Amino acid sequence: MITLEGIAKTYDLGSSTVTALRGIDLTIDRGEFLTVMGPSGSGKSTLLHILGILDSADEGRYLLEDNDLTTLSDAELSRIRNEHFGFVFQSFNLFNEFSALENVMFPLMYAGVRGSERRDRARALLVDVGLEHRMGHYPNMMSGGEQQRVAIARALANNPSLILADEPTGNLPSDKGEEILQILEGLNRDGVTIVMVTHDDRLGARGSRCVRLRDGVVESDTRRAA
Amino acid sequence: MSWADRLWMSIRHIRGRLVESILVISATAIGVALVAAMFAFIRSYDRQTDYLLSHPAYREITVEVVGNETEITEAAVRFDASVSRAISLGTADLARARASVAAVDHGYLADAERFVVGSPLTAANRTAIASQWGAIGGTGGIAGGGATGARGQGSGAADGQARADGEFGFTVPRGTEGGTGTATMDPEQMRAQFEALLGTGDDDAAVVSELPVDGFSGYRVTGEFFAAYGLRAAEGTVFTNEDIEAGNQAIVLGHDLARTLFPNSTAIGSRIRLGIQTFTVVGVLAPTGVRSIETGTSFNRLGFVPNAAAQVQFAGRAISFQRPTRTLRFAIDDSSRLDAAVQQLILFFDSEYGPGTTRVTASLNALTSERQKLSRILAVVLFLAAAALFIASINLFNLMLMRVIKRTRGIGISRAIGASRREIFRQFINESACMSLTGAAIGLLLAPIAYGLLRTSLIADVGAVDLMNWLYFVIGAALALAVSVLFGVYPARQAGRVDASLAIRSE
Repeated sequence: MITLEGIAKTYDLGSSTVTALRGIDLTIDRGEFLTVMGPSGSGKSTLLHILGILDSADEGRYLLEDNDLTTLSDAELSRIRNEHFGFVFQSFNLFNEFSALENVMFPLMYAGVRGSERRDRARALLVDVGLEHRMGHYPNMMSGGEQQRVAIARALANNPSLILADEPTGNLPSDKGEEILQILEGLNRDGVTIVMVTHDDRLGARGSRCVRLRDGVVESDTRRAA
Repeated sequence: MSWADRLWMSIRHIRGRLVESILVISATAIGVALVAAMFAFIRSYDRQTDYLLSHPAYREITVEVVGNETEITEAAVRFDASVSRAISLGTADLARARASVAAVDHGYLADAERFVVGSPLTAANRTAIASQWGAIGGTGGIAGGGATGARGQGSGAADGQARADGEFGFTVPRGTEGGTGTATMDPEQMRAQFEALLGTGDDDAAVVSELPVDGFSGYRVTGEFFAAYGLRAAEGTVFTNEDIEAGNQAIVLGHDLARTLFPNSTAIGSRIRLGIQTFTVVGVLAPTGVRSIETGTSFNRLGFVPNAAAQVQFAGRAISFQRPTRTLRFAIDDSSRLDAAVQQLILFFDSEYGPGTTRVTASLNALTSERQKLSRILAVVLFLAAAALFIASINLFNLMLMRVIKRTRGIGISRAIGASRREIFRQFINESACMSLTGAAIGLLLAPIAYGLLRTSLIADVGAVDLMNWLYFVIGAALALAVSVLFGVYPARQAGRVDASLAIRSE
C-alpha cells in the first residue's frame, strides 16, 4: 500500500538543525496494524506526519499504491488526506467551538458531501462509537475517552483506508485507553490499515507488526505471527 | 466546501468572539460611512458649484450702498449727515454706469417678489382704498418714518378689502439723520395723490377677474435683465427700459406660469391685477433651464414686471411707490472680463458718491474663493475619513492576524482532515470579508447621516440645488470595502501558510 524509500527529514531550528529521520525504508501492506515505537525524539511523530502527508520529506520517495506523491499539488494531497487517511491524536484535537456532531461533519464538508447527508453520516458515525447521547455536546463538556471516540468518528468520516494514530491512548486512563484500542482493533479486523505511534510496550505488542525507531533510523521491524 | 459552509463557519467564529468582532465591525462602519459620504459630498459640491458658476446670477456684479444692517435690509439708502442728503441708488445710476463703464454688458435691477393676485378695482373701491391709504399716510404710517414706511405697513393695513399688499411700500427720503423728524401730511392731499396713482379710468372690465392661483413669485426687473439671463419671448415681447420709462404696466410670464394662468387662451394682451396695480401681459418666455438661486424655482414658473418707481410728490419730497431697490446689478457675457468690470465699477461709483459709500461685489469671485477655501477643508476631511477607514482596516488586520495565531492548531487539524492551503486561505478571507461587509453595510446606512452633517457644517448657504448622488455613495463604499477586504488578505495568507505538522505538534 505505502512504500517509503530513503526518507530523510531535518528540522531547522535557527541556530542548529535537528535530524529527525535519516533514511527510512518502509513498506506498509494493506490490512496491517503497525505500531511504531521508540524513545522520545526518535522520529516517531515525524514519520507518522510524513506518512499522513501532513509533512514532506527532504529526501526520499513516497509511493502510495505505486504513485509517487512528491509531485502532487497541495490540493491533491489534501484530497488524499481527506478521503484516504484518518488522524487520531493524543490530545484529541477536536474543534472546541464546535459540537461533537459538527466536528465529525468537518471532513465530510471538505469532501463536498451535502448538508443532510453530511448530518446523517456524522450521526451514524457517532452512534457507531457509542456517543448517540453526546452529539450536541461540545468537547470541553466531554470526558477524554468520549473526546477520543469523537476524534475516531471524525477520522472515519470518509471511510479511510489508513488510520494514523499518534499515542491515541496517551492522555487516557488505562480502561478508557483499552476501549479506544479495541475500537481500532475492530476497525483493523474490518480491513482498515492502522499505523499507531506509542511508547507503551504493551500496546506495541498488540499490533501485527512493530517498528522500532532510534535516532531516526529503523532499529527493528518485527512481525507477529497472526 | 461550499460558499454557504464557509459562511456558516465564519459566523460561528465571529459569534465566538463577539465583542471584538462588533468593535471591528463598528470601526469599519464608521470608516466606510465617512469615506462614502465624503465621496458623495465632494461630487455633490462640485456639481453644485459648477451649476452655480454657469448660472446667470453668478455672472452678476452687484453694487450696494454700504450701511449698517438695518439700512441694508430696508433700502439702498444712506444718509450723509454733513450734506443732509440721502443717497439712494436707482435706475438713474444704472443708466449712468452703463454709459460710463465699458466692460459691462448689461445693467439691471432684479428684485424677487411674491405677487398677490387682486380682484379688479371698481370705481367705488378705488376711491375707498385711496382714502384709506391717504388716512394712514396722514396719521403716521409715513410720517417721520422712512424706514418704517418702506416696509409697506401702511399699505398692508389699509388695503384690507382688495388683499393685503405687503410688497408695496412708501419710500420717503428722510430729511434728518436717524429718522426722528416728522412730516406733516394732509390726509386729503394724500388721498388725492393715491387716487391719481391708482387711476380713474373705467377700463377694468378687461381685467381678468378669476385666475386659478392666489399668487405667484417673480421679479421686478428692468429691461436688460432678460438679455443677461438669456431669456427671450416665445410669444409677444419682453419689455424694455423705454417701456418702463413710458410707464407701461407690462408683465412677462414664464412659460409654465402662462399655461397655468391661461390654460385655454393666449396670455398675450390679457390684463391681470397684482396688488393694487394692473398689468398687461406683453410676452411669454420660451422655456428655460434657469432656476432661482435662492429658491430653486424654475424661471418657467415666474412672472416679471417692470422695476419702476411710481412716485408721488409730497411736501417737496418724492414718495416712492415701490419696494425699494437694494442692489444694482451688472452682468458680463465673458467672465474673463470680470475683474476689469469690477475695477471700473468701483472707480465709477467711488467718483460718484465718494470712496467707501458703495460696495461692488462679484458673486463669481465670492463663490470661487469660497470654493477654494472649502476645497482645502474638504481635503482635510477626506484625509480624516480615509484615516478613520485606515485605522478600522488596521484593526481588522490585527484582529484577523491574532485569530490566525490563536487558531494555528485548529488550522493544523483542518489540514489533517483534508483542508488545502487554499481552503484555509478562503476561510479566513471569508471571515474578514464577513466583518468588513457587515461594517460596510452599516456604514452605507450611516453614510446619508454623515453626508447631511458634512453638508450642514461645511456649506452655510447650501443653495437650492441638492445633488446627493447615490452612485457616489456606492463608489465610495466599494472603495472602502476593497480597502478593508485587502487588509484581510495578508492574515489569510498567513493562515494558508501555517505548517500543519508543526501546528499539531505544538502540544
